[in-house]
Amino acid sequence: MKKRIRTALACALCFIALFLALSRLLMPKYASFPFEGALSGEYYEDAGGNDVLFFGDCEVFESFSPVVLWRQYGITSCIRGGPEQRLWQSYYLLEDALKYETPKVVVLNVLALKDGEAASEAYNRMNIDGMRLSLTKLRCARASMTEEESLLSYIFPIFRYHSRWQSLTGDDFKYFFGSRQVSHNGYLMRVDTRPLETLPAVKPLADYTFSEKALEYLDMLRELCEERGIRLVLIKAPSAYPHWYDEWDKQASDYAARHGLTYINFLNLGNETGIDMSTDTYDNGLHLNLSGAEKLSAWFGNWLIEETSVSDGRDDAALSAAWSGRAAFYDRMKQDQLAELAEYGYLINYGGRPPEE
Amino acid sequence: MLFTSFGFILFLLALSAIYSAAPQKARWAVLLAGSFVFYAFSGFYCLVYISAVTALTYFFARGVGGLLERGRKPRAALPLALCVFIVSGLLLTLKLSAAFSSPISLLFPMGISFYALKTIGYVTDVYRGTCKAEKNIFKYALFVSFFPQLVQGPISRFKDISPSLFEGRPFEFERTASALWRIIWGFFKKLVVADRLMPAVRALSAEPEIYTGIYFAVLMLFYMITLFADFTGGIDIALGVSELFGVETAENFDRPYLAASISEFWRRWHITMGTWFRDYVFYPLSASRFMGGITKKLSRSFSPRTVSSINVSAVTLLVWFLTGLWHGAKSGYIVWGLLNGLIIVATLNLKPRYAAFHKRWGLNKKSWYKAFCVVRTFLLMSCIQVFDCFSEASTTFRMFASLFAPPAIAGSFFETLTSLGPAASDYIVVALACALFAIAGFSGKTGEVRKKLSAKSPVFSAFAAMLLLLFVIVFGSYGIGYDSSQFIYNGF
Repeated sequence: MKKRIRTALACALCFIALFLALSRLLMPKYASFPFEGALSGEYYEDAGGNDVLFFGDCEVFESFSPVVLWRQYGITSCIRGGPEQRLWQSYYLLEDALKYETPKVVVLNVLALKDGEAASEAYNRMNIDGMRLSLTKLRCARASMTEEESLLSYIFPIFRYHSRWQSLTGDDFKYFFGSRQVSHNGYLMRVDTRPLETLPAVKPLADYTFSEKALEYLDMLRELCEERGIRLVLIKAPSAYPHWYDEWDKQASDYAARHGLTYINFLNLGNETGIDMSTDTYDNGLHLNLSGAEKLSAWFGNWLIEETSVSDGRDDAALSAAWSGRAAFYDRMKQDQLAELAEYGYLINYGGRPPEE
Repeated sequence: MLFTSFGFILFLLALSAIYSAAPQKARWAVLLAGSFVFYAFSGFYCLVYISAVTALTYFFARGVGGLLERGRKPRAALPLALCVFIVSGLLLTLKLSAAFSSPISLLFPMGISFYALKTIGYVTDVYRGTCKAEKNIFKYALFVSFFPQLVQGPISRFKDISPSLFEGRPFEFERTASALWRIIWGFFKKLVVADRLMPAVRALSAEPEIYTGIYFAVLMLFYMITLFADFTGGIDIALGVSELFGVETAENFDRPYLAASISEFWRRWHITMGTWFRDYVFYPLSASRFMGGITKKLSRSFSPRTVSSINVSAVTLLVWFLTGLWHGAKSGYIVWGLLNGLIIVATLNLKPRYAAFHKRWGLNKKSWYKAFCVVRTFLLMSCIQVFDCFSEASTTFRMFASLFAPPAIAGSFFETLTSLGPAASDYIVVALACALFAIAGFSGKTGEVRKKLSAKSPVFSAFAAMLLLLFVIVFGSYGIGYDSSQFIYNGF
């Protein structure tokens, strides 16, 4: 009997070890384009001691540079953004982040208030897979899942990614034990420029009302911030597209006024921030490039220092040491991207596309 | 609830926990409750059908049993006939409504083809005295609705299954390990092979006008592989789950693709269906007054041997017609049944000539001839089974006519194959899996490989099962991006 139990235990242990190893191998590593999927997991590297946390979609993780906020104002910050991040995902990502730190300010981009449904299963995975396994993650998955998804696959991602055996690349083996860092405290850098030329015509909508589900989670997020003594700041990043309708702006503004929150629409602050869509975007006004992100961060850092309780942390030696490493990585990547741009005419390793496309 | 769904695995875990916690005497009740919960996932209307058929056949069987006890067997034939008429009438009505897309077909209950045969067999067995009528209607309901066998068989018989079904056996290490092995093997067949190849089968049969010529041959081959993996995989899961709860049931397959003739194939494929039709249709029909009358008339003009041959041939054809109808009231299934019947009848009648031919050339002892017979049977069965793929038999005949003509679709063969759904790597996985099936088939009867492995080294056997499970997890066709197919036989 003992032998049988030992056999069963040995088998179970081997099974678990192999199961975990295969899970790790088959999970996407996001070490090359699309990098966005790495963001939710990279947060844990930078968690702890951040005074400002940003939440929202690509308009956030492409628009603010935590390294600039540190260098110019000594503000410690991190972006917990994700592609097509929905309000409920922002809420649960904040709930998750609060297990590791309590920031003074939470900055939330309001674009996702228009969305009542998940963008797609792929975006859900990129926003949630990187979260550490917890009830918060499962609640986030449950709130986000499309009809075809199963909660079990968020606990055991191999049930989702098992078919990747057909498309494994060198990266999957290279980054088996640890992924390559792709962001700078959640900021995804792009130094190239593709100026804003023309935008699709603005179409009137049948209904401009924000999604009920999104508003419900915004309420929950606001209440969570209130409970923890965190100041919530609503922003609209200066992306020119998707079009930010006046009706949406009014609803966001009214919500902020009703709850005593600050709402900053950067689309209206072009003169103050200096954002120029002929030089500060890498994709025709959808996202800011490094130049745009640094300008916006410079302005916003100043606002944070003047209007909130966030303070300059550069006197703290430990903080300075940690941030100097991050800044060096930031500078290295910037130089690498500039060199690539000079050599190939586009960012070959950073998700850029040849100019003719 | 699909056997290969996460929901079914969770259901099985929960049921196993409740089953093992329940007192032994109450375990059959746990299985009954579990079976009804399982079936409710197919729709509550399914519960109405099965409850009605259960109640009906229970009372008829009690009536038949009561008359037998009072020594009034001739009178017992009437309730038996009435019961058979009602249940088979219900089944036929549903089959016809499905064939003609009548609104009733929307309420076609999953698995009725199986439990209808099961219940008819039970009442007949009571009449024949093979088993006694069960007094406890709930125990009888468990026999009818036992969830592993509900949706695609095997078609169990009351006297065979009832002792172990109602005993409430506890979990035992070796039996549980063996059952898990079988379940994993079933998952392997279904998820790694059947569901991987099914998109190609669907694509090839969806556009018969372009996939002609060589692609029709490919369809035949793929369908044979898919049907084998799907049906035997489903039965492996069903029997594995039954074994888990200590329920002993008859095997439904015995390496069918190693059969050397069509008759042998049907002794190895869907065995419980074949024996059901033999015992409850073929024998009663052969011995019926009607056939007796025909025999008498024919005896005046023909020799006894010829009369016997005509008798057997006619009944065989009728049985195969009914078998086709049981699969579905469509011309494809009917022709499928009749073709099987015709070949079997021809084989029976040509048996003496075959024997003489074999003796003349000494073929029976030659291994190459045995291999030839196996290949010939496989090819012949491929030609017959492909009638399943098209609802109209005329389409299949048209496809046969195109077999040796160039295909209507342009482009290279391999490009066309990979455009059907599965990628080149998928075909490699299927090929490797088929090699594994062949090894398992040549190694011994169904189930023996597991037993041999376990007897040789329990540790090795356990590790092999673990690796197989991991293989299923990684290479299985499930989840997003895959159309998780129902089992083919769930549709009958």
